[in-house]
Amino acid sequence: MISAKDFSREARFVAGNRTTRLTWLALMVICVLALVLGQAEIQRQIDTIERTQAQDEIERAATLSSSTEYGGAAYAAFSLTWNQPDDAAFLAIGQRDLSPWMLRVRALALEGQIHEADNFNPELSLAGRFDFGFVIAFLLPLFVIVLMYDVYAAEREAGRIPMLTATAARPGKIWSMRIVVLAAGAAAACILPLWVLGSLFGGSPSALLAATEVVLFSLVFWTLLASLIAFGNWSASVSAAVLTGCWLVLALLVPLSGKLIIDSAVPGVDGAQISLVQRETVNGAWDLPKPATMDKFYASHPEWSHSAPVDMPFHWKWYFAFQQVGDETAAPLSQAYRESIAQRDQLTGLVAWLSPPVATTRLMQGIAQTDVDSVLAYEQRIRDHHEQIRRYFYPMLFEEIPFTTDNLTGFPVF
Amino acid sequence: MSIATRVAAGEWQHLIRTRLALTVIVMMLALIAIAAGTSAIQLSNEAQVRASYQQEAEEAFRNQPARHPHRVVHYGHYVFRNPAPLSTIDPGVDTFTGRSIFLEGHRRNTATFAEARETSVLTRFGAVSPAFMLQVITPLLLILIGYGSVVRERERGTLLQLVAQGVSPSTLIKGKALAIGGVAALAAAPLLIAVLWLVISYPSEQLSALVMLSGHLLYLAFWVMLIVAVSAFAKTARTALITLMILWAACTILIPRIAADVAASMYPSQTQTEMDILIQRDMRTVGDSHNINDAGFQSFQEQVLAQYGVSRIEDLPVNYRGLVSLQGEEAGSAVMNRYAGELHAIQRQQSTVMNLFSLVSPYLAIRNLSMRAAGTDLINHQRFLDEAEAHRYALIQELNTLHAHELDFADDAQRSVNAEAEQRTRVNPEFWQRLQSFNFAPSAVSERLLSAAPLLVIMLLWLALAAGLIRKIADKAGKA
Repeated sequence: MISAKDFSREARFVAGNRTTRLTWLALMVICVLALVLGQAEIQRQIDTIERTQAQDEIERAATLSSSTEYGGAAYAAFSLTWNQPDDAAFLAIGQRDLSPWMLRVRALALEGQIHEADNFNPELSLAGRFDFGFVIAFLLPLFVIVLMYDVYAAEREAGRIPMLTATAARPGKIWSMRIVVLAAGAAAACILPLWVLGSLFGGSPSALLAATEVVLFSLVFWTLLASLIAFGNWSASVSAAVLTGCWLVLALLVPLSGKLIIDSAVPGVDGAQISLVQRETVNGAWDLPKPATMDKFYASHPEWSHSAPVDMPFHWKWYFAFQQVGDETAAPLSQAYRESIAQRDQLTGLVAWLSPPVATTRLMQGIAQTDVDSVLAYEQRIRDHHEQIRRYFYPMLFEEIPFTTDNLTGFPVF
Repeated sequence: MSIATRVAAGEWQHLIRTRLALTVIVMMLALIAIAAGTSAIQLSNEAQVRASYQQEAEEAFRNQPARHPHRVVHYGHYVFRNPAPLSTIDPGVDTFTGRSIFLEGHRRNTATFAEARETSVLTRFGAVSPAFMLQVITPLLLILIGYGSVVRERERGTLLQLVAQGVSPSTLIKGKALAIGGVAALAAAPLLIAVLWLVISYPSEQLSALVMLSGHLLYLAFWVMLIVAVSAFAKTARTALITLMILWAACTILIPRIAADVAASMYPSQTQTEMDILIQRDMRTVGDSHNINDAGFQSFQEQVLAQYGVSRIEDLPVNYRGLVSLQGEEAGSAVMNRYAGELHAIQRQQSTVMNLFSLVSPYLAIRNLSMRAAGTDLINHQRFLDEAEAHRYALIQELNTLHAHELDFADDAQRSVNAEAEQRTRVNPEFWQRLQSFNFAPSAVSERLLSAAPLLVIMLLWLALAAGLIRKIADKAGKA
């Protein structure tokens, strides 16, 4: 077992090395930077959401109060939805710089609205964000390599091996102790800023604990790999080269090959098709006899089938019926699109078994609630909210209630 | 054979003898070849798919039945972005930008359905492309091959032998650089082939392809010199390797991300939704063009009546509703373009910050240089958005003109309640044949090269720095 005395003796020895101390320090500085930049981004997003919520209320009030008919109000009134960042979102920006985290919807066909993209600067997305998850997944391994590649070879090249083996009761213990000390320093460099800044930024203890586990997972894996190779019977530089090669394969090449395999295994559903189908149905309705649309709508909404037939070229209830029929026609495609995204994400999970950096990234994004699942969950919440809005207007439209603005006060907000 | 080439030949023999180096070389070549192959196949598929979608969308538009022009304003149209020819080598931001835009009245939409959303965790360092392999992976592999080139001779004591045989330190360094440079040239060979092939199939891209190629050659030359310089300077092989590894990680992994975060913090940009709401706010003063009595169009109405010398809109020789649509679209589009212009300006400032960071990371210099030359950068993405907007505006205003001139005002006012009037407001479908085809191409080669030029200068500075470093180390070694 590791005794405290041995540990502190070895710790003093290891910490006596200036390069080691500098490496630990650099790691800590990078962790601090990553946490601060991650939090800055999330804070910007929170501020934007608040600002937009305020303006959204103003706009909706203006639209509803100036409405003269229910159909017109349903057509014009937008409702803001947003994906509030989790308290731990600063750990990993994840999908929050690729997928929209705010979207306005109205009672019109949803498939024409929900696939809206945001206007992120693609050159920034290409670089990726500098967050804690990235540091732990991709940079921590490099630090471990720098700390440990010569742990054995340095002593051998200095000719101290015989002496060390002679003086130690169990030679294995010295090495395991040295590795443990080096790793403990690296762990402290990551975990200390994580807890200090993390709690300052409002991360819950359970999230920070989970993030700590991820740090330890990444650290333990790379420490084991590094010590395995560092104790090979070769020079320190060969160890470093082999370790760098391992990093290259695990961090870059496995994910890229995984991407190629996933691309061919799950042919993507082309999103553009969804909007095309939805558009043809919605616009085609204008050229069809009214009952063709109304019957389809009543089939899925029998509760309104008692509504009077549409005998004019235009009626709002017919207008919103074909919006809904458009969504229903595009639904299988849209469902397939979401399933392909979920399926790709599952396969990415399999790639994670072959690539610890991918696994680390996914775990961290899971804790931060910025992964694909959370994007899909947000999409579902938008769908639910949209349904709430259109069902809010249906009684007014299909019962043909006389218009008063008072009836619009119950407009459902997100 | 000169002494330097003899040194280089010796180093080559050594690389072939040691299995590690040979493995690395074979791996590198295989990777680059696979990347070039996959990205060429993907691109040609992608280009075909997008061209067929574009054609499909245009046919759908032209085959519409008789419709009210304003129906068609809402029916809208889709445009797709053709991939740039050089995106086979460097897809740049293509996977992060949407591939299609829906064009409709009253709204300036952004491009949707970006590929990157789908497997983002796997590709956050870049797509599988020859450019990524050359910019990120090749330098690391060159480090693994070359870190020991000079320092190894010193550690083994063969350095003194060489000096005794009359090999000067600078010749030795030159020879080693030649050897590592040979491997780098081997790595760049697939790029050369790809460039030749592209130049034959797209003769207009000659110059941009050449700039891309030379940019990558400069970049690889920089790494070769840096590797040999560090190898000559370091006391032990392992410090050489670790130093080079840290430099590589800082340049290609660390700095780009820090740069992106700094750029985003320095110039925060509005998200689409926030922008949409502010546009809606500003549009309230413009007025809703669906409602001809909207207060926003009061002075417009007076102006039109005065212009035609009549006192009632019913007496106008044209359909006033169509005029309001024309006016509303013009005013609305001015508002939307102002916001889009501001956003684009901010994004360009962010990219300028990224460019400035290429003074601390040669990787950013080559990455941006290559994207700019290929036309797969932010600038060309914005051009796509702007061209799609111009296309949209022309189309919508053409439809609004039909609305004003082909429709009777009384019929138009009755169309929601009178079935016969409604039939009369549908215009002849042959008008839909007027749709112009949309064909996006990256900006002119000269423009692209102009935006790449500063980065080429920075790349040359990096090369000069590495060359200076080598000379200094050689001089020092000569004196010692």
